[in-house]
Amino acid sequence: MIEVHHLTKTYGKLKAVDDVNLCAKPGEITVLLGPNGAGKSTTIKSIAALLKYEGEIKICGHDNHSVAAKKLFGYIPEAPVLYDILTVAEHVRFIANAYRVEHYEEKMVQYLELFDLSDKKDKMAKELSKGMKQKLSMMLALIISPQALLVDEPMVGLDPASIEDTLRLFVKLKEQGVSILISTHIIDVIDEIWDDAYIMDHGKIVQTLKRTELKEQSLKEVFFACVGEHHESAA
Amino acid sequence: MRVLLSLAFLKGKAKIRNLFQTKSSAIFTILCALGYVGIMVMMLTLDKNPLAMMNALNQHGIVMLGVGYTALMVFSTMFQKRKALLFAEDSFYLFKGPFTQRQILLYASLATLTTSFLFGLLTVFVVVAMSMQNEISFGFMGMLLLTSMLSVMIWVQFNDTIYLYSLVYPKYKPIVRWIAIVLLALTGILLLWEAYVNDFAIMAAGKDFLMTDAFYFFPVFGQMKLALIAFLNHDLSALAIGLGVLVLLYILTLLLFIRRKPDFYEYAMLDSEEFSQYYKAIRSGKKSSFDMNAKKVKQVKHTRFYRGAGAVFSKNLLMMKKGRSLLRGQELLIIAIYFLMAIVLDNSFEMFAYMLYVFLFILLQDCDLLKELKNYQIYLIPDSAGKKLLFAMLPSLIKISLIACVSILIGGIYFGVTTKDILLNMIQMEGYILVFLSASALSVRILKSRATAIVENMIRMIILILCALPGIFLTFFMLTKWHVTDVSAYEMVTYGSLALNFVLSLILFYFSKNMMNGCDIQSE
Repeated sequence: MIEVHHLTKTYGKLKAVDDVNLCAKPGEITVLLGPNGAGKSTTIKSIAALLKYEGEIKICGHDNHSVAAKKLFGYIPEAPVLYDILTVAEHVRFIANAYRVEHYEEKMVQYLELFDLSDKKDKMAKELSKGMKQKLSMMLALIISPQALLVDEPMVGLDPASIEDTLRLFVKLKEQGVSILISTHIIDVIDEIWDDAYIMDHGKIVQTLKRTELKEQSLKEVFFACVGEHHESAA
Repeated sequence: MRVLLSLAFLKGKAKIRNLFQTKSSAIFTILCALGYVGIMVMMLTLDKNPLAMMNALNQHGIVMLGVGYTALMVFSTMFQKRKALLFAEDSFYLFKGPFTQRQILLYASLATLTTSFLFGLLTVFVVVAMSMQNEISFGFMGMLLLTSMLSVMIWVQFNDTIYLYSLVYPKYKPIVRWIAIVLLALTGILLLWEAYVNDFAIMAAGKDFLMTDAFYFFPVFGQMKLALIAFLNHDLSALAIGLGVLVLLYILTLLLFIRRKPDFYEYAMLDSEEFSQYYKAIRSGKKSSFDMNAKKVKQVKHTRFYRGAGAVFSKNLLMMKKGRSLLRGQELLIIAIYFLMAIVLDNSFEMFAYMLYVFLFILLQDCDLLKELKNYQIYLIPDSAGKKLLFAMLPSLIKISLIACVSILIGGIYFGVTTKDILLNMIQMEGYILVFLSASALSVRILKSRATAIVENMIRMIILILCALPGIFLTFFMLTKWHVTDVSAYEMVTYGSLALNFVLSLILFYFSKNMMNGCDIQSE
C-alpha cells in the first residue's frame, strides 16, 4: 500500500504540490491524472523519496526513506535512466544483486520474453530504440518483485502492441496483490484498467473517484469537468 | 547572411542572459571574471624580470610554453573522435532553412572565431601563470593572444574542411590524424636529433630544442614562435614574416572551408545530433569529457556482482573495464606533458608534484562519482546510505590513487628522490584525494541541481578548495612557524596533514551520506 498524507512540495515560492492525500491499495490500480504541470511527476518523485517535501509518505507501512520501503517498491520513471555501455542482461544483474533478489535468472528470461527483448539481451543500452529502453526500464522495476509500483507516464515511446502487453502486465500484477500507482495525462490508455482515480490540477487533488462510483459519466468527462475544456488536447 | 549574423548575436546574448539568470549565477559569473582579471593582475604586478630583458633561453622557454599549449589544444581537437560542424539546433534550422552552403559555412567559421578566442585567453593565462620569474608585458600578451587565435583558427578550419569532405568521401577521414601524427613525429625527430648532437645529455638537448631555428619551419606553430620571438626582440621584419604567414594561412584555410562542397547535410545532421547529445550529457555531469573520445566498448565476460550496495561497486568497475576508463590514454598523455613541463620550467620533483595535485583536482571534477550521483537508481537501492556512498566512491578512489601513486613513483625515480620521500608524498597525496572525493560528494548534496553547469562547476571547485584548505594551512603552519627543516620533522608534517585530511574526509562523508536516501538530490 502507498499512503500519502498532507504532501506539500515547494520550489521557491511556487507550490508544485499542495497538501495532497492519496492511497494506492494492494490489488488495485490507482491513477493520478492531470494536465501538464499539475504536479503528478512531483508527487511520484516525492513518493520515490527523490525529492524533499513536507508531509508523510508510507510504503507498505514503512517510511518511504527506509531501507525496508526501498526493498518493496519499484519505480518506472518517465524517461528511462540507463547506463549506455551496460547490456540489457548486465542492467538486470546489477539491479537484481543490488536488491538481493534470489534466483533472478528465471525471472529475467520471463521478462525478456514478455517484453520481446530476448534477442537484445547482450545489446548495450545505447544500441536500443526508445521503446526498448522504456521496456528495459520497466523490467528493472519489475525484476525486484515489488509490492508497490510507481509508474510515471508509462506508455511514452511504446508501440501499440507493447502498450497492450504492459497494460496486461499491470492487471496481472494487480491480481497478485501489488499496489500500482500510475501517473499519466493520457486517459484513453488507462481507461480499461483503473480502479481508483485522483485528478490533480495546479498541485491539488481536485477530485477522487472509484470506478464503481462512476455511473453515466466516463472518466474523461469527469476529468474535463474538473480541469476545464482547455486541457482537452492533453487527454 | 544578416539573418545568420543576428542569430549568432542573439545566441551570444542568450548565453550571457543565462549566466545572469539567477542571483547566484550572476554573482559567480562576475566573481569568475574578476578572479581571472585579478589573478592576471596579481601575477603581472609581482616583482619580476622583464621578459624582453631575459636571456634567450628564458625567452624561448616562455614562447614555447605558449606555442606548446596552443598545439596541445589544436591536437586534442584534431584527435577528437566525435566531431560536428554545428550543434543540433543550428544544423536543424540552418540546413532546412533558406541559406546557401557558403552562408552556413561562414556562420560555422564564426563559431571557430569564438573558440579560438577562448583557447587564446587560456594560453595567455597559462603562460602568465607559469612564468614565475619573468614579467610579461601587455603587448606580448596581446601578440600571444593574436598568434594563438590565428594558429587555432587555421588548424580548426583545415580540420573542419577535411571533416566535411570525409562525410561524403570516408577515405579522407584519416588525413587529419596522419598530419597530426607526422607533426608529432617531426617534433620527436627534432628532439632526438638534438639529443644525439648533445651526446644524449637531456637538459642540453632540451635547451637546444627550445632554441633551434629549425622549429620556425614547422607549419603554423613555427611561424607563431617566430612572430613571438621577433616581437620580444623588436625584429620587425621577422615579425612581419611570422605574422604575415599566419594571416595568409588563415585566409587560405577560410577560403578552402567556405568553398562549395558535395552535399554533406545528411551526415552532418547525424553527427550534430550525436555530438550535441554528448555535449549536453557532459555539461550536466552525466558523462565525462573524456567520453567525447571514448573508444569502442570492450567485451567483458563473467563479472561477479556483489550483493546490496556492493553491486554499485561491481557495476562501476564493470563500466570502467568496458569503457576502458580505468586508465585512459589521454590521462597518461596529460601526466606526460606535466612531467615535461616540470622538467622545462623548474626541473624539480616539487614542481611535478604540484602539477599532479592540480591534475588530480581537475580529474575529480570529471570523475565517475559525480556521474553516479546523478543517476536516481543509486538512491533507490535498499541498503544503508553510508554503504551506498562508500561503494559509489570506491572505484574513483582506487583509480585516482593508482594514477597518483604511479605518477609519483615514476617522477620520484626520474628526479632521484629517496624511497622514503616518494612514500611520504604518496601518503600526503592520498590524504588530499580522500578530502577531494568526500568534498565532491558533499558538493552534490549542497548544490543539488542548479541553473547552469558552469556555476555548478565553479561552486564545486570552491567547495573542494575550501575543504582542502585545513590540510594546506596545517602544512604551511608546521613548515613556517615550527621552522621544519629536517627529514623526521617533514615526516611529521606529512602524517599530520594525512591525519587531518582523513578526519576531515570522515566528517565530510558523514554529512554527505544521508543524501543517499535520495531526498536531497534535487533542487529545492
